[in-house]
Amino acid sequence: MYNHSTRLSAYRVTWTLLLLAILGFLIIYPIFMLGVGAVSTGGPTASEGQISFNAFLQVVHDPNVLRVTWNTLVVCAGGTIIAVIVGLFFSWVTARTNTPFAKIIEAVSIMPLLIPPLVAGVAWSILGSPQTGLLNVLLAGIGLDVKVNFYTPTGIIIIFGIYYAPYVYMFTASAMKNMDPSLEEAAAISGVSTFKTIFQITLPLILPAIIAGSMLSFVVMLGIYGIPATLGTPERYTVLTTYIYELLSSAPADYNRAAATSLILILVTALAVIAQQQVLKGKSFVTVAGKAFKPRRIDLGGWRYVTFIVAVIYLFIAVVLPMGALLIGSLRKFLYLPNAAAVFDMSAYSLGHFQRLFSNSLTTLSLVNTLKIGVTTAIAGGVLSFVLAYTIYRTRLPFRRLIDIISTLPIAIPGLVIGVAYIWAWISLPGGIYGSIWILSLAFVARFIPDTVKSLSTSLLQVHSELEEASLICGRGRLYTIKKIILPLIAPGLISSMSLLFILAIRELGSSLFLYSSKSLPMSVLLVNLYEGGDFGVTAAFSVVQTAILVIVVLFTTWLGRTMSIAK
Amino acid sequence: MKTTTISIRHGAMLAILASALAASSSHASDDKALQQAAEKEGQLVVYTANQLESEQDLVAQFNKEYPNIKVEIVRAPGGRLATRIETEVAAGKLGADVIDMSDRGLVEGFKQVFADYSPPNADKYPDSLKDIPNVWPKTVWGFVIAYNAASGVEPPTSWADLTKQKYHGKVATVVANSGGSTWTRALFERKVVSDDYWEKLAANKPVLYPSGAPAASGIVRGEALVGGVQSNSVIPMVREGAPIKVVYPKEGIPVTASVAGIVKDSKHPNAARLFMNWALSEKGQSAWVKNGGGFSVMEGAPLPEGSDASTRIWIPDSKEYTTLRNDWLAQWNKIFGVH
Repeated sequence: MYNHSTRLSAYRVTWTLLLLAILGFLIIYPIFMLGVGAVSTGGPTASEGQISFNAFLQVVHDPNVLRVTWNTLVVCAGGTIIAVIVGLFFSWVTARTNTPFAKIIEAVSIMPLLIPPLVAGVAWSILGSPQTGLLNVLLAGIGLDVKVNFYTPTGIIIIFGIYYAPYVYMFTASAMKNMDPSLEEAAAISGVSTFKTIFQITLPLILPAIIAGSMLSFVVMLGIYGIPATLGTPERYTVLTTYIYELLSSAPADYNRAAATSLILILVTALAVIAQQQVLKGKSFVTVAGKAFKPRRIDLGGWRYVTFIVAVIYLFIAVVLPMGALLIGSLRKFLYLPNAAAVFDMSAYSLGHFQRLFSNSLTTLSLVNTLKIGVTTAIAGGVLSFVLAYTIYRTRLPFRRLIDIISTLPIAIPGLVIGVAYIWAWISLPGGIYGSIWILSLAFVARFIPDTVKSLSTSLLQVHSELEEASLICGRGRLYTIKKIILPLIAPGLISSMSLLFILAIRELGSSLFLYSSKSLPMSVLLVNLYEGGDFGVTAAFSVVQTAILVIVVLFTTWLGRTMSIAK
Repeated sequence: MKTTTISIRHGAMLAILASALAASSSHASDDKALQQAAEKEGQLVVYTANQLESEQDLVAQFNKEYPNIKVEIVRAPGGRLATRIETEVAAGKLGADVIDMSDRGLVEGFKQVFADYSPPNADKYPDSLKDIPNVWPKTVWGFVIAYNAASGVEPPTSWADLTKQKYHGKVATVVANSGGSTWTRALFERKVVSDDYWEKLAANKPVLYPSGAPAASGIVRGEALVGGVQSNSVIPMVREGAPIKVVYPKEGIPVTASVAGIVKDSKHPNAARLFMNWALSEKGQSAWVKNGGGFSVMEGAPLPEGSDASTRIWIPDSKEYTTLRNDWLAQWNKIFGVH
């Protein structure tokens, strides 16, 4: 007995140390370099840098920072509320009701996620610009004297909400799918109404998924640049990311103040994670236990057409409108649309931008690179995140709370800032990694640990430990138990996490900006280079191509996840 | 044509090098030798702050003459490029053979990476841009005024026009601290156009844009109808048939002269030299002005389509450019209510 426990604890300590070492390399070391950058003049690699805390003092004393932080919290909180309402509605509709075409709604509802934030911002500025927005042109065209204006804080909130609803959806949908319906059935038998059941049984059961999803989308919104830059700048509404971007545009780039300002974001994130841990502490959210069950779909009767229509309206706003704007932008020679008739002038449409896009040799190069990077990131990141999530949520190992906090930190750092942290930290890696596509995969695995660990957590938290214990008691080892019990149970969650990782890797811009070389150029960097060159048609065409690739991947993984789901 | 080019090169060589007399007789064969050595290397990597498609067009012209040399491009805006170069230099992993930066102030931090280099026609370039050794104004671009011609708006003729009541709420303005060239524009506005230009323009309620690209597309879309935009993005757009026209305002065109040189430890030094010689030659500069939407500070270089002898180019004083920058940008932000 004595021997057994020392062996176990040696194994436990080694395991914990190994994980901490990996996280140290992927997360702590780059953040540390950022910290060094914040207090040294000229960046951490400068030979004659000096240590100075002036940047911190400047940030703390700057009244603008306070106002900008307030702006940031307002749009992110507002966006999160919308994202939670929309995301929950969709996961419930698709997983638990008999709304028609649920599978199609399911596949389409995560589409906003496939558009990079900058492209989404551009698409919505085309649609919602107060004077010449496509929506306003069309509204005027049908004789309505209504104007929409997305160049406002409300506009940013709505786009944030639409855009990050899929995050909440992805988290809560797997929780709803894997939920043992016996409690709901009990409520139904006792004569409790459908709506009361939703609010008193279903929602509380998937609370951890709701909290994880809303916390994650809130924190991700903190770090988004593209949407507030395109929609906020015309009306001079500054948030932390656009403020940081400005600091980086000064010459030389003010990494000191940018890094110091980013620490505000890191702090808010750490607080959010701790709050989440406190809320969930001591509560059980097990819904998948040893008993067999079959998820129950609620018969909504006539209401199912109402939910269907609501879903269609949402999808129209979130998917059809921005994709339509991009398509029009990619097919029209130029986007000057003085009136509604101009939109339907077919002579202005052609495939010219697509031809131009594919005549550029860099396009194919970046496509191939990005697919390679996406696949390696999804596999390596999926495995690592599973290991982390399992350790955090399924074991009693020491420091697992710390691992949880560390593995959430990267999300709070805006892409523009973390990119420079990665090059500072990893440029000296041996074996020609710097300059190859591998360093990009490494950066994406590190950057998206939070997203994948959190999205796996919802699946893991639901599986009752009695299933594992039964296997362990029967003398099976832990690895065997994981392979035979846990993995099959959470396979849909794992697949959807890996596809999320693939999507994020293909979209990711910030961490690529400093790490790519002429040979490892990814799509996102080429896209932003075309965009910065002012060529909107080619940029739109490239966005359409990128989105099409992601749609194919999502359809494939949705199908894969469904065939692997234990519910079948 | 060929003989003229060669004689210009002769003159340049004489002016620069003490050993020019001995070298000049074998100059033509030197060119040949350089080309052969460059073709043996077969490629080079350019780090540039120029617009990607604009640089690709330039490379395509270069490849018409030298099809066996592949030019790979890494493109990033000045600040980001400088960070990258400094970090790579510190780690001994600089991947560039040629560096073409936009922001003079930023190059000061790593001017030691440049190899000794001057092009054969070095004397055709203004002395005011020779303050940093070994780097040359390969690509020059500036802020011109564009207006949406399809909207029927009355074309402005000067920067001062943009403050007139008739353009109230219709002027596109890129925020001054978007980068080196927007700062040059802001500096020009205040130093050359008028002391209180910023206040007057701000009072005219311009539509602000975070960078040049959305500003140009804002004018194309008619969200704003007039405004200052970068020549190397807007002139190619006009050529492709965008519903906009370009005005060369009478006060002048604030330009950013790039700072390009060959890297000391370049793996493809001959290819780098051949590319730079070509880009700075009359052919290279004409190709840049014609296709890239740029300007040239080379003596006798052509002007962009639509401009004439009265078009003036304004290059900022490099001292003022650095010393005034942070203070004046903070004032700009205040005046335009950015935050």
